[in-house]
Amino acid sequence: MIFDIKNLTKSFGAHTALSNLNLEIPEPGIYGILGPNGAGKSTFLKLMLKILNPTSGEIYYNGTNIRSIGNSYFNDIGAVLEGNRNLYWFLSARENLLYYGRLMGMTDRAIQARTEELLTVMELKGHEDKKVGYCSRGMQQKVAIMAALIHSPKILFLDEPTLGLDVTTKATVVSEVRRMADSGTTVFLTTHQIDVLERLTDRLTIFENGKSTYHGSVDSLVNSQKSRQRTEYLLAASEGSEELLSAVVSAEDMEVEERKGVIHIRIPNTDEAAQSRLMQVCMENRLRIISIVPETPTLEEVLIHFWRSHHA
Amino acid sequence: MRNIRRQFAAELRKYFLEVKCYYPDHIVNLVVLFIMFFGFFRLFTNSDVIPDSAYYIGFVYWFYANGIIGESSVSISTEKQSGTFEQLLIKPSSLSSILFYRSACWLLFQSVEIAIVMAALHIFLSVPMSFSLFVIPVFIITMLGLIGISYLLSALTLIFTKTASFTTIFSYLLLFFSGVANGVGVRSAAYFIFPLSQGIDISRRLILKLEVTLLDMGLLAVNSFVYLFLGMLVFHYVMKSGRNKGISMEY
Repeated sequence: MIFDIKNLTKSFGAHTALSNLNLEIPEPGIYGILGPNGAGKSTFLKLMLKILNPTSGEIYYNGTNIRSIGNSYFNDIGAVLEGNRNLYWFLSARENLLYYGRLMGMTDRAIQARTEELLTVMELKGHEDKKVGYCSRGMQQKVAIMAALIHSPKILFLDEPTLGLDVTTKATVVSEVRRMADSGTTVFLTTHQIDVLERLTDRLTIFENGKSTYHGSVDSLVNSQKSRQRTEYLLAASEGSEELLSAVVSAEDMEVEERKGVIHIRIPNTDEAAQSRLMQVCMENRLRIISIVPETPTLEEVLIHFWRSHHA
Repeated sequence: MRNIRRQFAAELRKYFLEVKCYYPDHIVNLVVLFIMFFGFFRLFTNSDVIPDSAYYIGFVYWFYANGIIGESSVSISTEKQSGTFEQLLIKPSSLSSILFYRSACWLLFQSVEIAIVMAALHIFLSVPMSFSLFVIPVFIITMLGLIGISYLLSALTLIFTKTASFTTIFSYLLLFFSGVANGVGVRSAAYFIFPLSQGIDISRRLILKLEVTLLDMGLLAVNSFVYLFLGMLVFHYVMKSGRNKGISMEY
């Protein structure tokens, strides 16, 4: 067990930012931390990073309470924190890595070797001696990630690592995070960018109002909402066809709309009766079916539905 | 030991690059310092205090005190503003040790600046200057006490980030009330409670080859270590409290 979190609570006066969290992180992988603003994600990260002490509860790392590990805990930890620069702007990428590497107790030779490796991976060769303050946002973010990785940490905390990055830089960061996880690093990733979550996370923890409302795999979350899976029918529009079809599929969770001469109808897979009715109407009225597309809800749709259902 | 060396090397190199990057600020500091000390030496030359060859040492002490007291506090404040503070909290080396090494680096670099200013004063104003090697241990003990005060102010900065802005006022109060401009043997009220006053007085006596008693040295050592211990204690208490209540990262 890498992390075993037991009854973790953090309060600030009367406000409880995190309440009675129980979580097990059994093996390396990418763990997505998700939730609306103020849900407790940042508090969770700060507790894991020992920037904050819990009000009650414990965090065990490899079976030892992190309170009793002391500062050597940070030998295994790297972090890129959102909203922070994380770097000294008057230093170059190389100098930043040298500074952080030395603070981690690394030899200059080891820092040098690791820097070269990271520069290649992050595609920053040729920019290493440029002051970070003069680099683009994407480059700065890459250097921040490199600084967090300089000592090859076993655990990496990434808070919004792809925020504000262009497509190419984002792709590099995403593939590097994937590569690290595949090589045995445990990554905690918080992001509001669902596409990044979808591409990266193995397991998700969803926070809401300081509580964990879901902890499990992305697939399980999607499968738990099978009722959200639908089939989209595309029909060639003709006179009166939209009214005709609207009468057939009238339930609330069905959608009928016409776009550029094509009628789009979405029917939940669970509603077989509506699908049969639709097929019958099409055959009786000689409506041309262009295509039938099984539609799996996107993670974004699943999450929105998940949150709505929890608020309901 | 190796880790200490690496940590010190990290701070030293960072400080050097920072000085290199913001060198105009340091040139301005040098000029301002020269003008200020020029004024002081001219002023007191015409007053009752007759500058002897140890008179200058009070200003040297004040210069170091002025910087070292505020250094850690300004450092925390700057780190918070630049968004690197939390990174320092998640390193194997403790924040208090990082601040200690930074103060040490500051001392090293500023020694060059004060040496230039003092040399200029000696050359252009013919300010008499003597030195005794015995001053060095007195200086180190005094600085430890001042680092203690620096920890106290840093603790305040952890809670109220803007504390750093007010450290300058404290520094200038020291200039006038800690015996910096007094003649040798004039012991201000601050002498008995403040290591800076004791350090200045003892150093002057050593330079002028006057008597320094064991009681003087003992008082300085006790005073300095009390400040250092108290400063570190308060700093660690505030850090712990900050981890419980949340450290404000806002500026």
